[in-house]
Amino acid sequence: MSKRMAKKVLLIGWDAADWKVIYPLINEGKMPTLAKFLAEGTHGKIKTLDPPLSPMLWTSMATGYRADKHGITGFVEPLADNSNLRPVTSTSRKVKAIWNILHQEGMKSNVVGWWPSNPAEPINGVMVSNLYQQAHKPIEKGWDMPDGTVHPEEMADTLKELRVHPSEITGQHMLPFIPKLKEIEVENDKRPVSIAKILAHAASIHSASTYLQRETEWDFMAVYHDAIDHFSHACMKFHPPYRKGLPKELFEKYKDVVNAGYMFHDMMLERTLQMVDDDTIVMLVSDHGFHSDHLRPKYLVKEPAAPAQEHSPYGIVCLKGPGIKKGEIIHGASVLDVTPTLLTLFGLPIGENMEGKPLVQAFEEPVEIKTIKDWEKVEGECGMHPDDLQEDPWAAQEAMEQLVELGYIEAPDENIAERINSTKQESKYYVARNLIDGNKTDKAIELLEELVEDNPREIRYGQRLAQCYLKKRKFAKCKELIEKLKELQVILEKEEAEMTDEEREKKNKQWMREIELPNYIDYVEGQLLMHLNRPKKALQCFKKVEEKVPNSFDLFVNIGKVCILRHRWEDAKDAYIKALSVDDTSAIAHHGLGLCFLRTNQPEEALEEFFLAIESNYTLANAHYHIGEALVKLDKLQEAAQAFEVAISFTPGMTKAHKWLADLYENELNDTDKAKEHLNFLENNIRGEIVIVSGLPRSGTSMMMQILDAAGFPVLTDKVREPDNNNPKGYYEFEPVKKLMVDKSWLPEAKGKSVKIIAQLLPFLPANYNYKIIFMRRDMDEVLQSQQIMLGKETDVKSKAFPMGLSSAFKKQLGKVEDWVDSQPHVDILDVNYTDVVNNPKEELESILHFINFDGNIEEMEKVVDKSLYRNQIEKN
Amino acid sequence: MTEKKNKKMDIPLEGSLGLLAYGDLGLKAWRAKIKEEEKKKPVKKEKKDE
Repeated sequence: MSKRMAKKVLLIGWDAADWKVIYPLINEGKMPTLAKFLAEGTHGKIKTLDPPLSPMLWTSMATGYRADKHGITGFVEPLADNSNLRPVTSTSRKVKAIWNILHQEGMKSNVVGWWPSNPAEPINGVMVSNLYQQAHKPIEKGWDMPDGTVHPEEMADTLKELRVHPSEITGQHMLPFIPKLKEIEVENDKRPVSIAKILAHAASIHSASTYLQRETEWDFMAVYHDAIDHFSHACMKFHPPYRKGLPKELFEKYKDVVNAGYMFHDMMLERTLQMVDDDTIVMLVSDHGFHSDHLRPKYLVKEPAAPAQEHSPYGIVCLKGPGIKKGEIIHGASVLDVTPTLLTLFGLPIGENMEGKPLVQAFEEPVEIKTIKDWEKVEGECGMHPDDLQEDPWAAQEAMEQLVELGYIEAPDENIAERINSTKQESKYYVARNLIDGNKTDKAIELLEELVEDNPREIRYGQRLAQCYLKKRKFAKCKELIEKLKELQVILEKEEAEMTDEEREKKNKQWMREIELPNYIDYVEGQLLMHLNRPKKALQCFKKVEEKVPNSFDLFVNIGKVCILRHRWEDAKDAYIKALSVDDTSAIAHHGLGLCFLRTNQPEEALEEFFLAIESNYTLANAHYHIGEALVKLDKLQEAAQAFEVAISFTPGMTKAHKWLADLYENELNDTDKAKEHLNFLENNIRGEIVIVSGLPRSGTSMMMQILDAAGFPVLTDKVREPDNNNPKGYYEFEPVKKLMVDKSWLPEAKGKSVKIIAQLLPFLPANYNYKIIFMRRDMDEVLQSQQIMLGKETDVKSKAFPMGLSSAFKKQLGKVEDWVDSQPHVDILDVNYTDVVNNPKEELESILHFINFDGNIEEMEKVVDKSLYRNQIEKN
Repeated sequence: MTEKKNKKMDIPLEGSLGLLAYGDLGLKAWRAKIKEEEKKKPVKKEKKDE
């Protein structure tokens, strides 16, 4: 065991608390307790997980694992008897929480209101479950507390009396939230009732936690408040500034609710901190943020848990106490870091299978981090529910279904069965999203393929699967799925258009819902097109999405990347600035913006952005490289060399940095030894690039070689094969290519040039070059017809007797080539359709020049395209 | 209600956010105040039919 940093640790959770709301309040002097907290401790942003659903997130915080391991996969689960759904319970959690580990280590914990924590676990200490504060009846009808709400049982009576019923909330309590309360007719507007309920819940949790904090012995306390999240979901739409389209009257009534909620939390924090001694470390966290500005969505998607769309990716984290730095900022924190940090504070090892890490940057002194293989393997009593109470609710539901099938029990009502099934699918979907978030894409694909098969009309599942295929470079599968999803979308849109107003209204329950879910398929298609080296088409897709999703960080970054590829610097700048408005700490966005400044000759502005990028992520090698470039422009050559050296320390193979260093040391800094070092590296490692024109025979490869020749791009050909009737302008072949399978010695000749290699030979290319493949695609029937004619088999063509076996063999071979290309990181491919080149040459030729990064002569290239040579065109219905 | 620094606080009958923010002690003090005021109210005698 390492040294224990704190005698006691108090963890406070404020669901959805966001710095964007807090900072202005602190500046106005309205959150003085938190202001003092920040000055006396460290704080920063904490990154959420996807999906940002609170029961999953607070369980990840308390366990250090993602949902696939901890077992809490959504808001609801089926009842044990399959008769209905219930809020998710603690019995579904499959792993130890921090309080269970501390129980095993002989420590006492108080846990108040954690989500989910019902029924309360038999821990060493006191647990008050998340059902504690719920009031389902008017107080006159009695306010029972269900069994299992409090452990130990003997504390139940005392704690029961510390709850606040919503009906106890008075006008005096409500005035800071709704100053115009008297103008509201609550029969018609239920918002004041909701706000009173949220306030009562917060007061109940606070009442129980202050009692336990003062009256019990404890080593660890965890207190969870959901009020800020609920105030925000109810009233963030009314939070200033006023937004067009909102009823002004409602805005005037409810614009103070969110701020009042935060201020009340500050008041509660003051009392909590009054009772904390000098031996206690206090940690305040939220699980995600909440959009409070122009990034608030105008609509919510039509899917379960839609309100999570209002959540923003960064919550808050603050620490203060013995051994914690003062006035510092924490960078790079994640919700998965909470349990590792708590374990470290208690001097306990962290699980090697925990994804997060302790936030050591917050500690004054370095600490020794010890690890343990897996806390789940540590035997002994840990205060979890007994095995007979713990269950996987979905497994239990399946067992129930079996009993129904066997005839032992009656089937539940059809609607209930449908709801249970739909909830099960959603839970699976959330786990898949969580796996994607954790880069476990293969596992996510497994789940999503099942979901898509079982729910073919649920576009969301298909969209995620398409993204996974993209991530794993399964471009053909991604493309196929996107086409299916686009067809499905047309069908769904048609169905929606044919709905009656009543049916549509019933579907669109949220008052702010204006439009259908933005075209996420277009977004995935755009990403696919980027991978397929079609930046112009990719941008068209992204722009379609941007019209409907005005605040997506990933979308802005992708638009920025595409604009950079197309040298549209001002557009790229705009995109990165928008990305920074969502996340102003993003290294990628600062780097992208810096690159735009660099390429438009603003090296000082560029440096500013690059420095911000490395402040966020010091290991971003490209940022260091571009710092070098900017410093060269400013004639600060020594510093530039240092920057390039840092770049290659992170990416030793960065040839462009080596080139600069060789040049600088040789010609400017008079260090011939170092210059030699880098020159040697370049000689031994530089790969060289070869442009390959490929495809099936008769797919247009000769035409493409002629086009490249006309552009001025060097072509490798020996003209052994002379032009003929089938190819009057020449074959542009290179004889040694035919022996590629056994002889690769000719490849150095191809460096920096284009060479024609048929598709079937591509997998024989060695891995020590970079390849850019222009792959010609042509209708298979046309290819076969052309081949038959070339072979003198015109009779087959006229009788349309094609060798169909050949067609399927070619298709199979193409599939193998596609798989090979997808798996080769040093291979870039651009699919070019022969018909498109003939019919729309300018656009296609521009794409090609972009792909090979060559400033060619488009007019000369266009002259090569001869429609009269487009023979064997087959009319398709 | 007496705070840590032996400062007596007025407890408004309508309650206040400050009392709720004070936690269990604030809540108890407010409820005690309500009970106290309830006791002061005259008890209504029921009229019997003649």
